[in-house]
Amino acid sequence: MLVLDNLYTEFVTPNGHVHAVNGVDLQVKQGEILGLVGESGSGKSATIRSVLRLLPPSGQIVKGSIRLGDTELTTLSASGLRQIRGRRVGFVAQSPFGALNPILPLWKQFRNVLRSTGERVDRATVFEIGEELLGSVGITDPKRVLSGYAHELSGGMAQRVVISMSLLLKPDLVLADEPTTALDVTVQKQILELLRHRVQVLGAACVLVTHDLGVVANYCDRIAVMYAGKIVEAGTVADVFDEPAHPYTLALLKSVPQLGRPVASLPGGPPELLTYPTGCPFLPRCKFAIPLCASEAPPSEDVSAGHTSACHRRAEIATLRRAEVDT
Amino acid sequence: MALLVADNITKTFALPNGRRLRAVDEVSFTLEAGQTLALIGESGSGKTTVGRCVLGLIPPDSGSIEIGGVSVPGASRRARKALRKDISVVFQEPYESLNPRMRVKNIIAEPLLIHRPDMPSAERLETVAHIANEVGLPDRVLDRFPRELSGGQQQRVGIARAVVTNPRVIVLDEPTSSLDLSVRGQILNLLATLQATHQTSYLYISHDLATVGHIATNIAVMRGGCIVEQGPTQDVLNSPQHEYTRNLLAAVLRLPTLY
Repeated sequence: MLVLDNLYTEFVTPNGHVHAVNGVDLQVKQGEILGLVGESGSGKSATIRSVLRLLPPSGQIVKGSIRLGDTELTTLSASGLRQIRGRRVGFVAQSPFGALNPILPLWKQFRNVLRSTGERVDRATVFEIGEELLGSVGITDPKRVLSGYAHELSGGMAQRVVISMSLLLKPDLVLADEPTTALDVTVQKQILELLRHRVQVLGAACVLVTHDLGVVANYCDRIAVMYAGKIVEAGTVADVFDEPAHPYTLALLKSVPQLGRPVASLPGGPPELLTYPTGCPFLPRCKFAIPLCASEAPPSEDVSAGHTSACHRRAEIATLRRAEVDT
Repeated sequence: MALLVADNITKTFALPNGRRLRAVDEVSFTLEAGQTLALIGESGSGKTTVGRCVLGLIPPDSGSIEIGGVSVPGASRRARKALRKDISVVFQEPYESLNPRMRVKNIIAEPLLIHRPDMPSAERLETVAHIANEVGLPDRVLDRFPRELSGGQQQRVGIARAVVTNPRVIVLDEPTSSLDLSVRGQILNLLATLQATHQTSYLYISHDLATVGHIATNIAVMRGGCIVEQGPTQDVLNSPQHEYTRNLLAAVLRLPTLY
């Protein structure tokens, strides 16, 4: 459904060009939820924002292709993109209050989305469609919510409204940029279950950007791990969580807080990406590094069918991990 | 005698419609020296209001709070100032809680200027450098401004400022929830190390049961202004008595195995 091929996106800053997305290859299939994971600054938001060209003025796609079905998005005109946004691809931003207009009642914002297709819809129709959709996302009093304003809602309610709006035109693909990061755990659970359910009902696909591997383990079908603007490991959730084949994935897994064990820390931070390192970008933080890692960037290759890793020692990581657990 | 004793505290706020919201409803707990009490609850459960009462930032309507035998509410101006040397706070948003126009070294030194005004400046600089080193801030960042630091470094500055007067109690209000996952572990480990070195007590406010499992001695679960369950960490996590605690535990997203 969505295919990113060798995508490069840069940001122009006073200090030079930041290579935020560095040759990303990614496929999203119909009906699946893909978890895109990485630390802040790993390029995951820049990647999905490139799809709808929702980049700040300093950001631009320099190379590569993004295909949605048969449509090439990188060369599409602004008016062509407007046909895609909302209708074929929905977007859920991290902060629901940033995504809602504070001075328009919510039903008018729903109406504006519905009217963007050129159709004339009256107030009664907006309420009819809106009430049904808000009811389906677990909002108990949809009529009152639609008549009210964004500031009257709690964070969890507002995020449900935003998810409803992103599904209003029944898109084939939903891009969700950390939709639950700001929410309580019990609300997070409700929102993710709802998103998964709606995606399944519509037969849509979803890219869920998150830095929480617990979310991916419980709600996604496939996972792609990003580091320094590249996908360093990708595969089905079962394969990657069973046998992580990249040291970065392993480090992320260890840093997930779990009941009954201390939280491991991954020292250092991702590189700044003004100049791209020649060898492996994870080298300074990697405990399994070998001399080859400094001289040659590891290519992304299969570990098993459909499970890729960009690490020179991809075949040994599972053994190294077990040796570490034993000691 | 416990270091911090909160007895039956209640705090209400006036709502625009004339009614009153009971943000904290007859809450009691104790905190021993060198231990950590985790106050767990969701948004609106009243956990931050409890923290603000303990810090003396807002007075409770009723009930008493004592730190080392000194009452926090109703203390005189002078007594409050003395108390603030013994209790400090680390906020959720590191950047918002640092003065953007002060350099890092001056931010860390500020509590010393207030509570130890007679300390010679050479000794003050030395203390700041020592604390910065202890929290893992490289020397070069001391002359920088908060905006030039990463989120993890900013939170280290917040922690350095909180520990510089060697307080007996630190209120940690979601100190890691705005941080990246790799940094979260670093900050938690730092807090554990500092506690072991200085025997500081932590009142750790959080919504995340999984994170506090290892830092907390005791857990108190709050909902709707009340503590619904409290006890030693292992008891609360392994055999939760209250349904709400069980729901919170069920919402913790688990990984298929431990790595």
